[in-house]
Amino acid sequence: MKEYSDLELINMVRNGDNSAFGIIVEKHEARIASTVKGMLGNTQEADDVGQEVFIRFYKSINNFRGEAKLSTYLTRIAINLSLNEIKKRKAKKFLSFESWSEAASILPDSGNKSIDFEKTEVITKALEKLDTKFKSVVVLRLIDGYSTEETAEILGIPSGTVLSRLSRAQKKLKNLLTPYMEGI
Amino acid sequence: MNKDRIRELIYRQFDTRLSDSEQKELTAGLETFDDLQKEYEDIGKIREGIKESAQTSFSPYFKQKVMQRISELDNENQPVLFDSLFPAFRKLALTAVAVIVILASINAGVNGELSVNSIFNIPKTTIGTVMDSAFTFLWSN
Repeated sequence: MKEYSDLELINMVRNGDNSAFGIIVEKHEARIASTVKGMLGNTQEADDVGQEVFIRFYKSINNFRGEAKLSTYLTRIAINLSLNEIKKRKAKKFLSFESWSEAASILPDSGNKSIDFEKTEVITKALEKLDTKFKSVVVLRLIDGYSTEETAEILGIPSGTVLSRLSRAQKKLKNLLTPYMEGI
Repeated sequence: MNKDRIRELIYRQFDTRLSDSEQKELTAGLETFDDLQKEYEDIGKIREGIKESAQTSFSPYFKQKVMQRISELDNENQPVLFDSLFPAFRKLALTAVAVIVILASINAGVNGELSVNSIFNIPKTTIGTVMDSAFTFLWSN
């Protein structure tokens, strides 16, 4: 079976072949999932945002000029929608009068790690503690594997800022994860 | 040897290519400071752990859900008969209004009248004239 390029698939969708859009979704689901779940965790909202990424792209498919790679374009939408979702969450927390101390709860008790220490869970929770601007850099650079330049392009910031945010994020993560280092 | 400088090189070396002199400086620093060597190893482990924590799929039937929403979206955008007639009717109505305004203006200029009758050149009709016509018709037959 012929493997179509992203641009070929996009042109097929533009000409009314919606099944080609299904192939686009299949091709890019993994990357968008890692971006969105890196930003929002493994939640129902992450699934909804993931769907919305592809719906947004479908609606604006005629505006896609192919200047950026499709994966970069979709990731940019994913990051923006995830940031919106995080803002909504913060607003909800604020409206529910959740106390700041509760919101800033610490990671699971490191004493439990010998029983059912879950590395992924600990790392995910540590990521949640990062400020969004640091988290987005960590997700794109370390989870999605984008280069520094690509990360800068997606976030619309200079490469130097990506590097400094990444460095600060790693220092913060190291502080949070030090008690769990044996398990990692 | 400055510890902060070595720490900066540790973080930089994961994301950028250090120059030969910087690489030598880092190697010497890691040999000198055990705590920085530990920090270097920890950062490597954390980066590996983050990479491995990636979740690369959504819930089952993700693609089907997206395609379902797209199909709904396409159906919403299908114009019904009235929707497609409406723009045509609007054009027609606007043209008619423009014609009436032009005719009214011309009539106002020529006859000094702005009535509908004068626009369409309809003779003025009163009850008297209608009755006269009717009687004339009846008498003639």
